[in-house]
Parts: sequence; C-alpha cells; structure tokens
Amino acid sequence: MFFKKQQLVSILCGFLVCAVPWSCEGKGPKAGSDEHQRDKKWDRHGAELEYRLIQAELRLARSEGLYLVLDMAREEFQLKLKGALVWNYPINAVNTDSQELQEFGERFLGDKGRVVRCLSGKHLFTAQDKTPDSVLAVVGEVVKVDPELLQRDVPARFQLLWGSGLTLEVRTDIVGKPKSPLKSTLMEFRHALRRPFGEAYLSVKMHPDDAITFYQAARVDLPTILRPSVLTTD
Amino acid sequence: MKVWLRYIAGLSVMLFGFFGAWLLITGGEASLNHIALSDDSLSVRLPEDDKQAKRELEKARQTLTKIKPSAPYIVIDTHANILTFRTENSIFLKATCSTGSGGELTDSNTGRRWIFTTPRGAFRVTTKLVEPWWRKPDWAFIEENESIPRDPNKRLDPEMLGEYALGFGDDYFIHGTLYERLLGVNVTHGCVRLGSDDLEKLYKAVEIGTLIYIF
Repeated sequence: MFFKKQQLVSILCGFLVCAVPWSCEGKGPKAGSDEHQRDKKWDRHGAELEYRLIQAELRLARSEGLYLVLDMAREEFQLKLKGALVWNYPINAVNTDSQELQEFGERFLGDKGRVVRCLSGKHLFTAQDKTPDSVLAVVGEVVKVDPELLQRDVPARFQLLWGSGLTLEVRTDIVGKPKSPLKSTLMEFRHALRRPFGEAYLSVKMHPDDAITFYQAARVDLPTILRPSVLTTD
Repeated sequence: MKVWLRYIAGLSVMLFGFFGAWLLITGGEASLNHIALSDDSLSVRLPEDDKQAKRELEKARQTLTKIKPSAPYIVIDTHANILTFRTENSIFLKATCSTGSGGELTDSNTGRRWIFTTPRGAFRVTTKLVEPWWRKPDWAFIEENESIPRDPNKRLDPEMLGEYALGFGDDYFIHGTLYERLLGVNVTHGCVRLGSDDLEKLYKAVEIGTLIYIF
C-alpha cells in the first residue's frame, strides 16, 4: 500500500469536503442564492399592506353592498359589487402639476397604513336638472308617477369627505344652480378652518353622466378602499 | 354676585364657541361604524414566518381572483339608467335603459301596497324569452282604476314587453318597450327597459346563468 490507513482516511475526508459543495453547485447553492435573493426582495411592509388590502376587499366583496376603490396604481375610481367592477372612471386631477393625488393617498393610508375608510359626508354645491320639469310633468302623468321622483340632479360640483381632512371635489363642465347655499357656505367656512390643521384636497374633473352615478352611489358610510400606487412585494 | 354671573356667562359663550368651531372642523367625521371597519383592517396580519406569510398572501390573491366574475356580465346602473355588458377590462355593449321609479301604489280597497323599485344586488339570467307576453299583475289594473279580471287570459298583453325578455330575480325582466322616448328616465315598475336594437344585441350575447349586477 502506498498510503497508510490514517493517510487514506484524511485524503478521503478532504475529498469529501471539497466534492460535496462542488457536486451541489448546480442545485443547492444556486437555489440557496435565489432564495437569498428572494428574501432580499421580500418586503414585509408591502406584503402586509397588500394582505390587508386583499382581506378588506374580500370582506366587502362578501357583503351585499357596493364599495368604492380608489385605485392609485391605475389612477381610477372603481365601484364594485360582490367583487365585480360595476363602474370605473379615470382620476382626472384638475391640477395636473400638483402632488394632490399623492398627498391624498398618503393621508388616506396615514402612519398605520389604513386601507379602508368609510365616506363620512357628501355635499352637492351646484347641479342642473337632468330633464326639464315641464317634460317630467307630462311623463309623470302618463306613467302615473310623481314627477319629482323622476327628476335627477346632474352634479356640476360636489364634495365627498372621509374625515381626517380627506376631501374629494368633483367638477363637471356643466353650469349648475346652487343647492342649499347656506350649507355650501358652512362647508367652505369649515375648509377654511381646517386648512391650518392640514387636509388633503383632491379636485377632479368628470363627465356629467358619470358624475350622476358617482354622486348617487356615494352614500354616506360607503366603504372605501385605497389601493396605493406601489405595492412592493415579490 | 353679578360680576361672577357675567364671568360664567362669558365663559359659557367661549366654551360654546370653541365647541361650535370644533364641530365645524371635525363635524360629520368617523362614526363608531367607520372606526370599527377601519380598525379591523389594521388588525389583519400575515404570519410571522416568511414562508408561511408568502403562502398566505398567495392564497389570499387567488381567493380574490376567484371571487371576481370569470365571464362577461351585465351591469345595471339605476342612477344613470345605463346598462352595460362587460368584463373588468372591456365593455361590449353600453345602452340607455329605464329602471324603477321608486313610486308607490296602494289599493284603496284591500290596502295592498307596492313600491316600484328595481332590486339591487347580484342576480343571474334565469330565462330567455322570444316574443314574450306580459301577464299583467294586479297593480297594473289598480293603477289604471280598472277592475281586476277573473279570466287569466284578460291579463295577457302580447306587445308591451317587446321582442325579447331576460328574466332575473323574483319575476323581474330586462325587456323592450313601446315608449323608447322615455329611456333614460326612471319610469318602470321595477323591470329594466331597453331599446329594441340594444335588447336584441343583449339577448344574443348572454346565456342563462349570466351574472347581473344592479346598483
């Protein structure tokens, strides 16, 4: 024998120590490094946010009512029922240069990353009658319905409020008549008082037909989900 | 004594003013209901373990995908009187319709009362009818101050519903109308009226079981 027994054992051990990592190079270490990379990408905060967002939507989709999604990623308002999209409209900010949309999103989420809020108020400043009263008087007689029930407001300007200084103002390009001027003055006064305490004020443009849907569907207590523009998960 | 009274009155006015201003600033904000819903969303957490958390997140994503309709569906917007046949990303048909007026009718003889609203929620198309005949319900006669016929054949009207009808819910239909000029106005007794061209397109496009969302 060229080697003694002890030498043979140490050579074999040395071979094993070198060979095992080499033989695993094709699978293990690479997979391990991928895992490592993925772990690096795994953003716990983003994942928690997305999870809360999904769970909130699942809860609302399983209920009977309508809910609103402010989708910042698609820059879109969405009304959903049972998980199905029933109405959507782009968020056309009036001040395109400003950071209103981003500020609105950040304020909605707050420090805790709150993804759901309920609509706490709405106010119609100006609106136009959809159909002339004279026409509805005739129609009402034919169909035997009170003409007042047939009338619909086409909003020219209205506001939706979620509390915590979150205000969405919707404007259409029609000229409307003032609605409840006293309340409108109070609302303006309230904004003036709020401003020093901080508020997120987003002003958007909308087609009159869509404004009818949005205004009517946005009842007080409407659950609202905010989907942030970036969800940093893997 | 009078001086103290003045102080108290002044203080009350000040407190009242502060309270009024506070109400103006915060007024109309979060009710208990709102707080509960918002806070619930904050208490949802992924498992601590990353692998479990990833699995849980993926499971949640899949559940959300499953809850969405997989085939084209009908949406009826009772506010703007618009019917759409759509998926999440495409609209195949957008038509002006008429939905329930919300009017009420009471039978002075029996005290029976009807409220003419279009039901809201999720439904499915249950029937597809060609040349449907309307079997007039009692309210149709009471509304016209006519006596309710005993002969069932006297209730039948072959023209009122147009060429097609799609049934849903508890005896409601999407159907045609003789009064197309009234489309866009909330004039119906709960059914959904469509113009004849749009009705034909919709009838041909949908199958029994198609989802209908009404809001």
